[in-house]
This record gives sequence, C-alpha cells and structure tokens, in this order.
Amino acid sequence: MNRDDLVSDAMKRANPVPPADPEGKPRKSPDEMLAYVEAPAKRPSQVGTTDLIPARRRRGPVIAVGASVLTIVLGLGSVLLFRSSPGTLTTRIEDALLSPDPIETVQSMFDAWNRGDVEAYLALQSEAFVGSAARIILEGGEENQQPAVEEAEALIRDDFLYWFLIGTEWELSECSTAPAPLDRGDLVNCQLTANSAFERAYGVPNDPIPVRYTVKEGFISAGSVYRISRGVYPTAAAAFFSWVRESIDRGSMEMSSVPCPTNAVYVARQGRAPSGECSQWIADHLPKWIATLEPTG
Amino acid sequence: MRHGPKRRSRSTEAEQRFRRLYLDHERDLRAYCRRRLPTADVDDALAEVFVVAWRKIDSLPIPAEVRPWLFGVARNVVRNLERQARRQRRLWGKAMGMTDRSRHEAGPEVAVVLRGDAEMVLAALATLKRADQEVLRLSKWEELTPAEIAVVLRISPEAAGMRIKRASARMAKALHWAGYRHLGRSSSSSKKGNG
Repeated sequence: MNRDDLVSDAMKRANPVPPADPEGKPRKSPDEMLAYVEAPAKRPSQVGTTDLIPARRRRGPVIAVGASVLTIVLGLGSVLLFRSSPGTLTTRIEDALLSPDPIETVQSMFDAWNRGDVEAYLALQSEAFVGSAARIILEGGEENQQPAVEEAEALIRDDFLYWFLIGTEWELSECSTAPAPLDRGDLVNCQLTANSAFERAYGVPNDPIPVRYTVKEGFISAGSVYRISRGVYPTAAAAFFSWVRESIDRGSMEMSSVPCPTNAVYVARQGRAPSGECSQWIADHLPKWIATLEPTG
Repeated sequence: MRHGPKRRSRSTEAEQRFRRLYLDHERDLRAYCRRRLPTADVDDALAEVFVVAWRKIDSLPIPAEVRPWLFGVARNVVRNLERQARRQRRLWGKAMGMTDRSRHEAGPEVAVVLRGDAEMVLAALATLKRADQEVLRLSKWEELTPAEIAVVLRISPEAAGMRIKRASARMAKALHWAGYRHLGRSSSSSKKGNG
C-alpha cells in the first residue's frame, strides 16, 4: 500500500470535522459579522451576554492601544527605577509618549516593528521586569513563526495587564546577567518576590519566584520570529472573573453592578485590559474573591 | 455620525469585499478552528480572524493567496488560545487543594476518540513534532495544496512540499508502530467503534 494513501486514509478517519459537516454554514450572516468587526466600542448595556461574539472584541483595539501605552509607561518607569537602559527603543518610546498623539504614535511603532525592535523591546522588559510574573521563552524555529508585532501585543495584554489587573506588588532583585540586548541562547535568571494577598492564598507568601528568560535559537526572518510562553500567575485574573460570573449566575452579584465590559470573562480570558473604572472595581472585589479560596500554605 | 458620499462609497466597496470573503471562507475557517479548539472557543477564534481580515481589507493578498492567508491568521489565533489554555491549566495545577472550576471542555480531538480508529491515529499523530502535526492537518484536514501551505507557514512551496513528504513518512512510521496497517480497517488492537 502506498504510504501517502495510508496517511491520508488515517488522517481522514481522525478528522474531527469532516469536510461534509453540515454545521459548516455561517452562524452569523455576513452583515452581522460586518457589524461586529466594524463596531466601535459599545456600552456594556448594548452587548448581550449570550452574543455569539464576545464584547471584548468590540473594545479590543482601544483597549489594546491603551494597554500598550500603559505598559510602556510601566516599563519605562521600571527601567528608570531598576536599571539604566538608554537604548534607541527607549528613546523612541519616550519620544512617542511626548508626541501630540501618543496612542497613534505608539500604534504606528508597533506596526513598523521588526525583529530588532521586538528583541530590544523584550530586552527592555527583561530589565524592567515588574509585571510579568512569568517565564518568557523565545522559541524560534520555523514551526513557531508568528508575527512579532502580534506576539509583542500578546505579551503586553497577557502579562503586564494581568499583573496590573491583579494588583500584585512585586520586588525584583538583580538579574544574574544583564539581558540587554538579548541574544540567542541567553539565559537570564531573576528573583521576584510577590507580596499580594493572592500569592498568600496560594501558599507561597513572600517566596521568591525564580524568573528565567531563555532565548532560543531559530530566528528565521525579520518580523516573524518569536514565540513567547509565559507562566501561571497572570491567569489568576481568569479565575477571578470566573468567580464573578459564578456570582452573577448564583444571583449574589448583579450584572449591572459590574462596570467591566459585559463579557468580562472573555475579556480576562483573552487578556484584555479593563477600563480604569473596571480596574478599581476589581481591586475592591479581589479581597472578596480571595476570601473564598482555600488557603493552601 | 454619517460619512460623506466619497467615504461611503469606498466603505461600501470594502464592505462588499468583506461580505464575499466571509461567505467564501467562513465555513472552512470554522472547520479549521473546530478541529483544533474546544467548541466554546470556536466562535471567539473565528471572530478574531475576521476582525483581522476587516482590518486588512484594503491590503489583502492576491486572490489566490487570500484563503491560505486567512488560514495563517487562524493559525495564529488558535495558537494564542492554546497558549492561554495551557497557562490556565498550569495555574490550576499549581493551586493545590483547589478544585478546577474552569470547566474545561473536551476539545474536538477528545470528542472524536470514540470513533474507533481515530484514537489510534490521533495517538500516532501526537507523537510527531508539532510542526509535522500541523502540516499534516493542513494537508489532509484542510486539504490545502503545498503552495497554499507555503503561504500559511510563510515558507517556499518547495519547502512546504518537502515538509509534507517528511511528515507523511514520519506519520506512516508512527502508524506502523501503533498497529494501523490497512486502508478501510484498523488492526485487531483498535476499538471497534460503531460509527
């Protein structure tokens, strides 16, 4: 038997969604999808919780840009606090923040980023490590190609904003080596100490968390090189929002009292940043959620 | 706020392109997402793909490359979601003593396990490198040509063809070790599903 035939036959048998699947017809009409992708931010009251498309997406671009600026501000401040890194990227970020339209300028920076920029940005973050209680692994290799800008944005959304959202306080000790600029194969170890109530709830009060950055080989081409994995702590936001959703389901919390985007659960899952008002609300409610956790220490 | 006639006209043209794009590719992209994600994430992923498509509606690739380009976008979206899911699992793993309240839903590959031979094939597939797995899925499930796979993976068509060939060879070997031997039937060790 021909090898290719064998593999084709086997793969077809294991196909979870056969080509003739009748469920293939659109669940949304083209106009509904168009309205969704075109829609600017909507007020939470305008968005139903059972919408096919989560509210997070409607707010996504605005939030992402805001998140980017916020993150850069955090990162920049941290650089000044912890180390001096007057690289060209830092200068460009400073310039962008001082420009008449910082959001647009930063956004255009993202759009124009190439491999070098991302590398510099990550180096900057490594030095200025404050929010991302995570291990950052840059995995190259053809199989892991992904546009660098998307990765950088994902990094911002998933790590920094989660950290900011949770409100954890961190203390960073010196890294083992100065990670700027990051090169392939570099391994950088830092110690991070978390002081938040959340950390205490998880039984690791004030224990230093080793943070390791590894830069792996395999850069392929400018702009599509990185894969970044992160650690576990930032996803605490998702657990918090699960609790919010459960509270709403149980009736112990009113949906209308939550000033976050309607589908806050989705927002958390996708790493979107909530509004300032939402952040404050989260900060107020975090202790209530933490009280429901079983201490593990 | 109303747009002027000029803006409206340009906008309408873009909207028409988007509607056509959606009608032409929604089904395939939905299937792509369903093959790789838990059902609950499929709509999110699909919406994400079309948001990107709308953002790029004025600078889409040439018609022949639109479809694989969309698959490339979908691939990135799926990988982001998978990464987030992995992170969430690690969180719960770390949170000792807490029950998993995240209600993980079985993914499409879990659901299909009941279908006899599929279990063996998926197990064999899982032994391959992720890159080999994906190229096989793109080729056999999405039925993309090597040239289209090249666009998705951003490699040359020749490299895509080579990868498919190598991945097929590795898959054939993995199937052999798993005991999957014949077209149309499985080995005696496989489960005999009824449908």
